[in-house]
Parts: sequence; structure tokens; C-alpha cells
Amino acid sequence: METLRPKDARILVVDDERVNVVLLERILEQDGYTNVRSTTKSEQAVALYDEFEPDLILLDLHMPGLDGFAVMERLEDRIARDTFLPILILTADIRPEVKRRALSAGAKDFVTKPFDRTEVLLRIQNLLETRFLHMRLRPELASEGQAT
Amino acid sequence: MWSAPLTVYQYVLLVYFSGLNLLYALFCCVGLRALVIVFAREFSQGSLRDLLERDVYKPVSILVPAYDEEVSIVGSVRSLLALQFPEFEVIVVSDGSTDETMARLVDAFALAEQPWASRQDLPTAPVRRTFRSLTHPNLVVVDKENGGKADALNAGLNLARYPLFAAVDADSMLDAEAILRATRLFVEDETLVAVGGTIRPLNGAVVRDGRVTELAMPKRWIERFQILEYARAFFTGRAGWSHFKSLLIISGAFGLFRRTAVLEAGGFLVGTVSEDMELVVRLHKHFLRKGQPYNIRFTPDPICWTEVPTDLKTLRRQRNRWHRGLCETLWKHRDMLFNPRYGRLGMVAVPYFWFFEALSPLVEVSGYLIVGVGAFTGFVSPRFAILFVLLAVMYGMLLSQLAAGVETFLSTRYPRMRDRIVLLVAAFIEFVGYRQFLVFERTLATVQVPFKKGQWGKMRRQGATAIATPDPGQAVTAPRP
Amino acid sequence: MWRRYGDAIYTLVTFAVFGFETLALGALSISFLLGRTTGIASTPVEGVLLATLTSTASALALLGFFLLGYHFTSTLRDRWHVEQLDAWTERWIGLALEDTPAEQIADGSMPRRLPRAAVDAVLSLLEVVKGEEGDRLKAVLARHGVDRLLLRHLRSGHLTARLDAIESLGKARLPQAFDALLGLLEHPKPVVRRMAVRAAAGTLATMTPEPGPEGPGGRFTAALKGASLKSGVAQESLLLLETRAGAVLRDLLAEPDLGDRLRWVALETTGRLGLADMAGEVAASTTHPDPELRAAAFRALHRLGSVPEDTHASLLDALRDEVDFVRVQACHAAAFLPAEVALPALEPGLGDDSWWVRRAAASSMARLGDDGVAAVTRAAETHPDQAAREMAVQILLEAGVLDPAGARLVKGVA
Repeated sequence: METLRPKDARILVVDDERVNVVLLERILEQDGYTNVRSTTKSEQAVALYDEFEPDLILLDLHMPGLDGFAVMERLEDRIARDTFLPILILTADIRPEVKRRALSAGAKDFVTKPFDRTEVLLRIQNLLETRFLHMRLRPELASEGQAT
Repeated sequence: MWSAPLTVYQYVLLVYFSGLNLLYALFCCVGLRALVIVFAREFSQGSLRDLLERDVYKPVSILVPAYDEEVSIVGSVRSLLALQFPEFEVIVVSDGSTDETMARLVDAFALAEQPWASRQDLPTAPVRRTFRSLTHPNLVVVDKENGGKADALNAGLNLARYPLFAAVDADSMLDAEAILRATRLFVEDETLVAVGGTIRPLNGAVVRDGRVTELAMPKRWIERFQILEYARAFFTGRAGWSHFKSLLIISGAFGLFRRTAVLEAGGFLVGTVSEDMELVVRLHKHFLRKGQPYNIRFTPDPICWTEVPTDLKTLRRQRNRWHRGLCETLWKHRDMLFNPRYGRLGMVAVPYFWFFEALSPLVEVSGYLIVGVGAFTGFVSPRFAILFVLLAVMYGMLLSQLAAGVETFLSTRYPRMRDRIVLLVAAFIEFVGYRQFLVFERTLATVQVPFKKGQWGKMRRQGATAIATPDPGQAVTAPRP
Repeated sequence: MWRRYGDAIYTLVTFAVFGFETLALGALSISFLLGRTTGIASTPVEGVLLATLTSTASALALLGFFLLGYHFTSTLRDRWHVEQLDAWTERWIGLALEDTPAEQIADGSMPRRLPRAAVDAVLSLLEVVKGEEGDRLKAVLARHGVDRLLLRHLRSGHLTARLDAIESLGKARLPQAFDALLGLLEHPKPVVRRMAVRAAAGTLATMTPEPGPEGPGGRFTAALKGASLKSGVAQESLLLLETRAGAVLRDLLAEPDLGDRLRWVALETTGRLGLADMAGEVAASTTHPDPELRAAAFRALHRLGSVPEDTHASLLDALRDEVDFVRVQACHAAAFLPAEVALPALEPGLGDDSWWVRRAAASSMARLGDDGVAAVTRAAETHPDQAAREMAVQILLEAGVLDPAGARLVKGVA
């Protein structure tokens, strides 16, 4: 099986503020990620997911129309049960119950705005490494399940 | 023989006309300043978001009175339940519906009947059954015997758990963050008792995912005229009155109230046509009498979008009802007129509504008659008559244009230049025909007040999109002598 | 929501139009009055009427053209502003990420005074990114004297300029503006005080903490105590303090003669922010003479999810308090006492006169584990007071212990 480098990963950015989107795109680009798509319209997120099949989603919580929670809810149906699709929430909301709610709704990690570039990049890297490890191990796990 | 009294009356008309327009000018400027200059800066997008993200809100009970709404009820309730609000409940009160309203609700939301331990703060018509939804824990449905809209609202209030409540018409569309923003005002000001939002016509707008994404000019002139009317009523009228702490009208379509305050004042009054306006006036009275500091204000920020009538018949019925409601409320609280005990309200606001709103159609009609008869009998030179009418019409156009002007400052405005021109043209045409039509209807309504007490009237539903009959009231209109 | 330019001109135009119209109408009225003896069709009146008509027509034309002009120019301006914003954002991102070589963004090529769009772009970015990148952006503001300019506007006479400045400083969160913002808490206009306190709180949230009354936190607390703000606004500002809220709240609650309103705000905010380690400070107010404060203290304890040992006694007392809303909050807080202490104390609440107390008592009992649920079930079946039985059934329904059919059985309804 080919080894995917994390830098080849497909990353989807969803945030209603254009400034945030541009900033994140540049940060990722500067760090070597070449496969980044983004949108400021949360209602397009799911369609983009279907089309782009990202390895990681950077998601804002408070967006007009469909908010982050609604997007995660819609994606839940699409993500196969044994897939590890990391969703990294970026939000200015610091309330602990919001964090809890996001993490239990499917987010895998949480970063508050204003964020630190280095920290965000490290978290993204960790999440992608976990995802790729998961993908590599999946066929083995599946066959193991069948054996027993 | 007639000349002296007629002359005096004409003079009175002139003074009436001038006085009103001076007041109106004052409101325009005040409203503009309060809205655009101060509010826009205090609550730009970013700072509002900051506050909202920090829990600055209060939970809300949304009351939905319904009578024979089988066509639209499920859709409306669904969209209300989809509101992004951290803590709220929706209480639907079926006021003795004779159609499939209850059945459809039970089906769509998996309603299970529950024996309910409730308070009986307000007397209402008997409640038959109470339901809770198994799929949506914050939905409560009440089936009660018919008692009218106010009675249904009171029944809902008896069940409401949260400190604030909003009485919403089943077919108005709330801006997704509207309620959240409005509740913030209650956190900020603990004396706030009621808040009225802004209503704008939905007709022609492009709606996606429950939000208005783009405004487009509707096709029919009748809808276009109403766009101007609502702009006038809200951005100049209400903003002005609210600034002077004399807001008498909060629209039924979007009003947020503090539950304890309303209960203290006695809930909604059954048997009146305009229960929302009557409640606001009574709230004022109650707290002024009590001597307790309180506040009732208008905020431009939450916007409620509502379908306005597209045909003359529904429009007539709507305006007839509003005017009757206004007159009924004013008459019921006639002890406030020129009563210094009620401060600014009694000495300025209530008289204004008496003379410049309730009685204005009569004044206008009399003006037309005098000028018409006078010209016909030669008492008034025809040239003078024509010029005078022309002046009156042009003045009205001026006011309409100013309202259209305020709308131009909004971020969500009719975007195309074409639309702007259409609105300006509408400002002109409004005063040759549409306005007179409504004046006639309101005169009729004034006459009918003693006879048609508290009649809700029938509403015509059109398939999936029901035509709402909200009540922005008639805060500022310009009479024509 | 509203465009912020052109409103001054529009107000002027409105004033002018109406002032003029009123004068014209006044003239008309007077001439009409003068002409009444000679009849209505007198020429002077008609002359004035014509004049009024002309002026109204010109006013209409003026207004119409202004509006069309404004619409046109504002559409263009909005579009231009967005383009400018995008361009500057790209530039600033380049600078912040050190992507673009410093020479390309040398001060020489950039205007000494930054245009509005440039400042807006920096401020937007500062809301998103901190750390090294944020510091570089703040340095940009300092380098171009934006901070000095904003501080100057803070003291300006014009309301709009001042409000704009406060808003920008709130976004920028520049430490050097902190004291100036605190100074504005004494301003006569309420809107200025409100915006200033919010901006100050936001700024404090990012400043380096220094303990003691001379540190920024201490200065903020002092200013808050002296300011005349509505309690809701004070609450908002405390919530905006984010991680610094704890220190400020501790200072406030430790003050013995803190005003009642501010104490209430502090208790509420502590609860809302979930500062569990402050349960002790909060608990001190449970015996306050003012019932509102007692209730607020218990509500906060409820939100914090803990009741300190030494407060158990006052809580048990409060369950029998003469004021009903204190009893309600005490019942809610009792859910965090050990079950064997709480259950017997809450039982009398089921039969309370107030519906709210009954509800609070029953729901707290139901949260006290299996014993609690058993106690509520027992009450539903055997409590002498019918209202208590109904409330118990209701709570069990809501907790999912009973289903509607079961509830009807318990109530003896077929």
C-alpha cells in the first residue's frame, strides 16, 4: 500500500469569515500542504465533502445559517463507522459546555481563536498522522475481525 | 353662511398637517441618529458575535397560537424548532381547531399526551389535553377549547417555563439569530419589560435554509407600496417613539416580553382585536401606576420577515382589523388621554395616536370632501383646490421617499439600482390611489368599531405559503387634509 | 447592518428639507389666516401655495437624486472597500507569516497613514491570530501610529469618531489603550460607557497579568466599582474577560462593602463561567440579608456543581427560607449535597405552596441517584398533597423514568 505523506492530505476549511479562510489557506500553504479547499458558505460544506473527500476538516462553529454543529450532524451520516475523519474546530467561543458539545458531536480537537499558528499546525499534523495510521491499519483490522 | 366655519376648519386642517409633519421630521432625524449613528457602531457584527458567544442571552418560550392551520402548521413548527438557540421551548396552542391541525402535529412530532402539572396564573378557556413531543423535548402542544388568540396566548403563558416569551405568528419567519440578539437586551437592562423588533416584507426575497439571502423587488405594486409603509413605520416611527420612551406598539409578529411582567399586568386581554397593542399599553399603565422603573423599546436589530398581502381583499381586511384594534385599545385606555399621571405617554404619545392615527382617516376624508365640494360649488377656486391637493400628495411622497432613504442605508437592502428607482416611483404612486384606498378602509373601520368588537376576521390561506396578518400597526402615517 | 457613511449628510438633508417645508407651511398658514377675511380664493394665498408647491417639488427632486446618487456610490464604494480589504489582508498575512520579504513591505512603499481598509484588515486578523504573528501585526499598528490616532479620537468631541475609535480599540486589544478606555467609564453618555467597558474587558483579557490593585486587573475592578453601569452591562464585560475573569471576580467578591448590584453581577458571572474553585467565595453570600443575593449565591453554587462543607447548614436553612425564590435556588443547589442529607431536607419542598419550589425540590431529588428516584416515586404514589403527587409524576416523566402510560397509571387515570 502506498504511503501517504501527511503533506499530501486533502484539507477542507469551512468558515464564514473570508479573512479566516484566507489566513488558514496561507498558513497551510506555507507549511507545505498543497491540497487545500475552502468555503465561506457552510451549506456547501457537505457537497464539498462528497466531492473532495478531505482527510481533515477545519470547521468554525458559529456561522450563519448552518452552524458547525449542524454541519457535523450532516456529515455524521456520511462518514463510515470505522473511518477516522478528524474535524478540528476553530472558534472564539471559550465556554466549556460548548467545547464538550463539540467534542461529543464528532469533533476530534478544539482550538480557540485567536489561535497560535504553531499550535494549530502541530495539531493538524497530529490529527493527520493519526488518520493515515488508521487508514493503513484498517485492512489489517478488518481481516483480523474476520479471522476471529 | 358656511364660509366662517369652513374657513376655520380649513385652517385647522393646515395646522394639523403642519404639526404632524414637524413631528414626523423630528422622528426621522431622531430615528436615523439612534439607528444608524449609534446602534450601528455599538453593535457591529463582530461585537455582537462576541457577546453572543459568551452566553449573554436568556432562555425563551415561543408561543404559537394556532387556529385551523392544518396547511402550514407542521412547516412552521419545524422551522421554529430549527432555530439555533441554546435554550428555548416552543408551545403550540391549538385554539379549538376544527380541522386536522392537531392530528398533523401528533403525527409529525410523535406527540405523546401528558397529564400536566401546571400553574393557573391566568384564567383561560378549558384546556383539553397537553402533549409533549418524544422527538423534540422542547416542544409542547396544547389542545384547548376555543377562546380567541389572546386566550390561547394566556394558556401558553400558563405553561411557559422561561423568563422571556415571544408570541409569534405561525407564518412569520424569524431571522435565525433574531431571538438571541433580542434576549441580550434583557440581560443588559434588567428593567426592560418588552422589546419590539423590525418587520420587513418577505415578498420577493430569496430564502435559503431559513435565511433571507437576497432581496428582490416583488412584482406587484401593492407589495411595493407595503415595503415603503413598513420602512416608514419601523425605521422612523418606532425608532423615534422608542427613543422618547413612549413606544406604544410592538408588533404581534415579533415581540419579546418578560413573562413575570406580563403576568403581573394580567396577561393578554381576551376579546380585543389587537391584543398585542393592548398589552403594551397596559404594561405602560401598570408600571407607571406602580411607580416602578421600566423600559419598553424597539430595536432595529432582530428582523422578522413576513409575507404581506398580495391582493386587495386581504389587505383591506388586515388594515380594517388593525385600525379597529387601534381604536379599541385607545378607547379602552381613554383615561390616559392628557393625563399627566402617565407622563410623556399620556401627554404626547396617546394624544398623538388619538388625533394623528386613529382619527386621521376621518380628517383626511373630510379634507378631500371640503376641497372637492368647495371646488364644485365655487366656494374654493378650482385652481386652489387642485394645487392644494397636489401639495398634500407631494408632501406624502416626500415622507415616503425619506423612508425609502433610510432603507438605502441598510446592508440588506434592495440591491439593484432598478429596485431603487422602482421604490422611488412607488413613493410617488402610493399617494395617488393606494393611500386613498386605505384611508377609505380605515374610515370604514373607525365607523365599525362599536359594531365589530373583537372580531378576528377570516384569513385566506394559499396552499403552502400562508398569508400572514401581522400587525406593525400604523405608527406614523401622513394624513392628507 | 447599516452603512456608516453618508448618514451625516442624509440627516442634514432631512433636516433641511423639513425645516424648509415647515417654514413654507407656516407661511401658508399665516397667509391663509390673513386672507380669511377676503375669502379663500385670494391671490396672495394662492401665491404662497404655489411657492410651497415649488419648494416641495424641489425638495422631492433633491431627495430623489440624493438617494439614487447614494445608492449608486455606495454600491461602488462597498465593492471597492471589499477589494481593498482583500488586498490589504493578503499583504498583512504575508507580513504576519513572514512570507513576503521585509523589503517588499518596507515602510517606504506604504503610506505613512494607513487607509481605513488597511486598519480594518489588521484588526480582523488580530481577532483570529495571536502569538508571534499577532505581535507582528500589533507592531504594524504601532509603527503607523494607528494606536496614537485611535487614542486621539477617543478624546475627540465627535460622538461617531469616538465610538468608532472605541470599537477599533476593542478589536485591537492594545494594552496602551487600556487606561484611556477605563477613563471613559465616567463619561456622561451611556453608550460610550457601555462600549468602553466592553472594549476594556476585551483588552484586559490579553494583557499580561500583574497581581495587586495597581495591576491592570486591579485597575479594572476599581473602575468597575466606581462606574454607573447597568448590571447587565457589567455582567457582559465580566464575561468578556475570558481567562482573566477569575482574578477580577475574586477581588470583587472579597470586597466587604461591594454594592449589592455589583455583588449580584459577580455571583451570576462566577456561576455562568463555571469557576468551580470559587465555590467558597460564592458561598459567603448565602447568608446575605438581601434575598436576591442569597438566591444568586445558591444559583451560582448550583451552576458550579458543588456546595462547600461549611455551607451545608445555611443551605438547609435556606430550604425553609421565607422568600420563595430563595427556596427554589436552594432546592436546585441541594442536588449537590450528599443524598442522605439532601433527601429528607427536600421532601417538605414537595408540598410547598409555590409551584416553582415543588418543581425544584422534585427535580433535585430525582438527580440524587437511585435513592432519589425511589423517593420521588414514593411521593408520586403516597404523598398526601395532590399537587405534590402531580409534580412528582411530572418530574419522573421528564426524567424518562415513567412513560405517559405509566404516568396515567400512577395518577389513577385510565
